[in-house]
Parts: sequence; C-alpha cells; structure tokens
Amino acid sequence: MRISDLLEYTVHAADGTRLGKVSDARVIQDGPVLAGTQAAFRIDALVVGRGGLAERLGYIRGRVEGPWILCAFFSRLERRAQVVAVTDIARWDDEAHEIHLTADVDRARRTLEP
Amino acid sequence: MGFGGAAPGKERSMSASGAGNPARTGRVLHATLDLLDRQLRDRNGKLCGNVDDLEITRDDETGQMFVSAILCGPGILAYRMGRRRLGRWLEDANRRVHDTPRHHEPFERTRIPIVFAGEIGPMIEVAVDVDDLATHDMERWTLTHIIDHIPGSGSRAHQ
Amino acid sequence: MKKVLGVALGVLTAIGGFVDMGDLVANAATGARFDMNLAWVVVVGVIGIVVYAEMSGRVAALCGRPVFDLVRERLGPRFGLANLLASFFINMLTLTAEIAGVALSLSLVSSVNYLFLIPFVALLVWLVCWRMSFVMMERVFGLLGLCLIVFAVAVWKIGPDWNQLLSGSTHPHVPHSETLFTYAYFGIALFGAAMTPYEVFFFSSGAVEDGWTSKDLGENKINVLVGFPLGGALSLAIMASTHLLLAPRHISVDQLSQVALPVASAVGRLGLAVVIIGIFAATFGAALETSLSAGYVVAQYLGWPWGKRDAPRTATRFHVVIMIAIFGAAVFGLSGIDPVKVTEYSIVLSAAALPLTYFPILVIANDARYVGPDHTNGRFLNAVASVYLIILLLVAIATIPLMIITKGGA
Repeated sequence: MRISDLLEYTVHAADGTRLGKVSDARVIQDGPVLAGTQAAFRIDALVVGRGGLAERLGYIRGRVEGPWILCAFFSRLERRAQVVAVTDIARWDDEAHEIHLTADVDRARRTLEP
Repeated sequence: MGFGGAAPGKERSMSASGAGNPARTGRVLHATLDLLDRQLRDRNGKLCGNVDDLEITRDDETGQMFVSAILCGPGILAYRMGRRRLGRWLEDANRRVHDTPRHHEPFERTRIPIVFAGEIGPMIEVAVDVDDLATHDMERWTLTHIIDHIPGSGSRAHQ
Repeated sequence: MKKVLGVALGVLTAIGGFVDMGDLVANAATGARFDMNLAWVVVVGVIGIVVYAEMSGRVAALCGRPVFDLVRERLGPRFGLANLLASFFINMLTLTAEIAGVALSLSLVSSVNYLFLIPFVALLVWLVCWRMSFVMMERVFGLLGLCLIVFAVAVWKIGPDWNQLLSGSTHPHVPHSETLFTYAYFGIALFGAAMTPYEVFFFSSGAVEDGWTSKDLGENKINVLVGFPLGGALSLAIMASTHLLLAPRHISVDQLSQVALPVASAVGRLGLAVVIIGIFAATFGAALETSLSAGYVVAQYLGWPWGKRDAPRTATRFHVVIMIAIFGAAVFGLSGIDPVKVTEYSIVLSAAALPLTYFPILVIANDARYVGPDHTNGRFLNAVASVYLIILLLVAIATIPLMIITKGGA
C-alpha cells in the first residue's frame, strides 16, 4: 500500500470509539541497510488526529523559533495528536479503511513528546 | 552548495553519529514531514523529482510495517492528491509510451527501493541514475522531440 | 579593488533592474493624479522588498533551495499547487505587460504600431533566454536601465520648490478630486509594483544557480540594502516628474508615451532618447526575469531539472515552459488588450498574492535546520518582517474589494 492510502484510514479503539484519521507515520531508521531486508525504515507508530499546518511548518515541538507572532499564533492551534504504536493494532479492515486497536481508549491517547 | 541543510527528527538519536551512516542511528523521522515532498537527487547530483508518495509494506503475520520504497513520477502525485483514476492512468500511459530498451525485466521505474536512499536532508540522495527513473522520461522525450530541433541547444552558454 | 568593483556592479545592476513596467506605470500614474501623496507607499514597499529579498537570498545561499522548491515542501502539495497556479497566472499577466512595454518603447522610436512589434519582441526575449549568459544578461540590462536616472535629471531641471515637494511627500492626504478608495487602490498598486514576487523567484533561483554560499551573504546584503532603496528613489523621481509636469495640466497617464513626456519636456530630445533606452532596458530585463520565473516556479514545484546557466538540453521541460509562457504572453498581448490596464492588474494582483510566497520564506528564514543556527532572523528583523506579514495580509484582503469598488481605479 502507499502512504497516501494509509492516510485515508481511521483508527478505532477496541470499544469502537473513533480516535481519528491517520495523519502521519513515525519511522525509526534502524536496522541494517542491505538489499533484500527492509528493516531500514521501520514504522513504529502511527500519528492520529487532524494534521496541522503548524506541525508541517515546524512550530510544534519548537523546531522553528521565530518570529514571535507566528509561534504564538500556532501554539494556540497546537493539535492534540495521539500516537498509536503499531504493536497495538489488532486488525486492519482494508475495505472500510479502518484500523482497530487492541488497547482500550485511555491507553491509546498518548500525546506526542514535546 | 551552501549549508548542508536540515537533518530532520534528531530528537531521539540513539547513536553518536546522528546524521551520517543511515544504518543503526535509530533516528526518528515522520513520514509526511521528513520524507514526503523532498527533492530527490541522483548519484550524479542531478535533480530527479520529488518524493511524491511512499510505498509501505505490511507484514500481517508479525504485525510489522516498513517504508519500502520511494515513489516518484508521472501520476504518483495525482494519485496522492485524490485523483486516483487520473493518477493510475498517467502511470500506465507513461509506462506504455516510454519503453526503454535497457530494462527487459518488469522494472518499476517510478519506484526507488528505500535501500537506495542515502542522506535524508533537505534533499534526499538516491543511488540511482536519473535515466532509470520514469520522472525523467518526459525530459528525454522533450529533448529529442523539441529541444534538439532548435539550434543552439547543446553548446554551453558562454559565461 | 576587484571585489569593490564587483560589489559596485552588483549594486548598479540592482538599481537599474529595480524598475519595470509596473513601476513606470504606477509611479507615473500616481504622480499625475495624487501628486506626492502616495510617496510614502514607495518607501514602505522598498523596505518590504529589501526584507523579502534578503531573507530569500539568505535561504537560497545557505540551503541551496530556491523559493518554490521550499513552498511545496513546507506547505504541502495542495497548498503548493494553489500557490503555483496563482503565481503562474500573475506571472503571465506581468510578462504580457513587460513584452508590451518593450514593444511600446520600440514603437516610440520607430512609429510602427506596437502590436506589430510584439512578435518580434517575444522572439528576441526568447532568444536571450535561450542563448545569452545569465551574468551578461543581468549586467547589460541592469546597467542600461540606469538610463532612467534621466527622470531625476528632469526633476532637477524643472527646478521645483524642494520644500513644497518634501512637505507634500511627508504630509500625505487624499486629494479633493479623489476618494479614500482610489487612494488606497493606487497605494496597493504602488506597493505591488515595488514588491514584485517574480523578482524574488528570479533572485533566489539565480542565487542557487550561481552557487552562493555563506560567504556571499555580505554581498547579498549590500546589493539589497543599497541597490533597492536607490531603485526606489528612481521610482520616486518618476512620480515627481509627472506630478510636476502632468498634474498641473490635468494630463493623466493612460499610455506609456505619457510616462516619457516629462523627460522630453524638461530635458529635450536627448532626454527622450535616453529615457526610451532606459524604458526599453527596464522592460526587456523584466520580461527576461518573468519568463525565467515562469519556468522556475513550475520546474521547482515538480522537481524537474531547471537552470539558466547550463545548456538548454540539461533542462528541457524548463525551457519548454519558458517558450510556452512567452508565446502565451505574446498572444495575449496581440489580442489588443490595453497594456497599461494589464500592467495595473498584474501589480495589484501581485500585491494580493504576496503572502503566499512571503510566508514560507519568513518561516524558513527562522528555521535553524535550513539556514544554520547562526543565520536565523535576528529579533529586529523578525519584528520588521512580522509587521510586513500583517501588512501583506491586510493588502491581500483589501485588494479585490477595492478593485471592485473603484472599478479598477477609474
């Protein structure tokens, strides 16, 4: 599948609560870089929740530190992103474009580290 | 040229080297922020498109997921921006029109396996030749059908 | 010594290259209708372009990426595409205006109707884009553009009451014959003429092609800080000349020939010849820049090879886009559309579209991952740049309503 397909999927908790749409995938660049193995870019988590221009521009997590006016503006809009570990995924529903988690709702709602 | 540029996602680098050897850095990246829409450069430094989409491989048995390839070329971006049919049509059209004789095996020219990706920075260096990629097909077509027919296209413009 | 000469050349080129069809028309028309009451807008516009160009030059030098390349990456492909379409469209209007301007300046010396000259001009513009060296191009047209200093000579020769001129500029008010709406509309036009986006696309792409590094930042700053304000002073000279000679006679500027009138009147035949050379060079130079910008924005968004420096065969689609742009602009010009009107729309819409490209550059100039931790915007620059962001947003919001209310500045 492509990441543009993945970004169409909605994530549901075990009890059916809709947590949001997949907005990004967190990738860990580890593992040997050898032809044939695909361990080099492992997806360890999915980011769920409405993506924001603020994130894209770099104002979340302080990547960009100025000008003051934009920092202040975007920090107001800081999205509450939830991170879902790939290991918490119970099943994929490829027809309905849904991902169902094993964990219950509370454990799944982890915000991104600042 | 200029400052080497942004090495994204440095926040959880588990090894000392950080931006260098892509193997074993444990570097954290975000697919849409750090990989998508980055400019690609081939092994000779030529511009060869942007990262239009990424191929993800899902192993339903182990539950693991990997980014397995960079996708780039005609129709890929259209697909990503929601025009699925238009995107697929463009990809097929390009494949049919540009049958390069170099590759007899079904070689996906819009797909760069991720192992070929080198430095992830403002530009992503890929260890392929620009002529291996579909993104360059129209460039070559334009060269042979239009540019070469106009005098003065080949010699270096004097500085 | 050689370095000083190089810097001086850069500054002179910047001055001569500053004025284009938009500045000529906007400043001349404003001087005739509003006297010096909008002079302050030129000052505001010049400061704006200095800030904008400095940031784009710095970003281009330090991370080797020009404006449109970064627009897609930072705003995403959807916003980037909207941005591309808007910028390309406005670019086409500007290119049409510039080509018409060149044709008009040639018609002033040849008494041939400018429409017949448009195809010839388009071909000439294309030939230069195709074959001529980048550096030589900039130098020749930039330096010839300095002929426009004859406007300042004209003002000096008229011998105005300098005190009155100064007080008129520093104490602006809306003239009785005008409304606040037309005043604001012309203000936006002047602002858009000074802060032309194509200038920045061209400038930052050129910086990347020329391989600017952090060592060139100093020279960039001088070119921008000295060259652009002097170019602005030239714009004000144009405004003053029509204020002094056309306004008292109630002559408004509807044609390019009227822009040259004050010079012909004050300096005579020689002045007229010089000003025509200046207008030709300024509009031709701008036509080249806008043609190349058309190629830059498309190629950079799509990731194609681009560049003016190497032979066309190394950037084929880029050159085809340029050809199509020049052809399209020529066709549009040949439709008989009023060149002054096209110019006016191009500068006004440029002003409205400025936030689209200014905003990403402002963000990236603050991003240490791109420009390095030592070269992010300082606090003073950020304060000024933020004020301009607000100005640009206000201008963007006000433009279309004003265009409708004033019926295009009638």
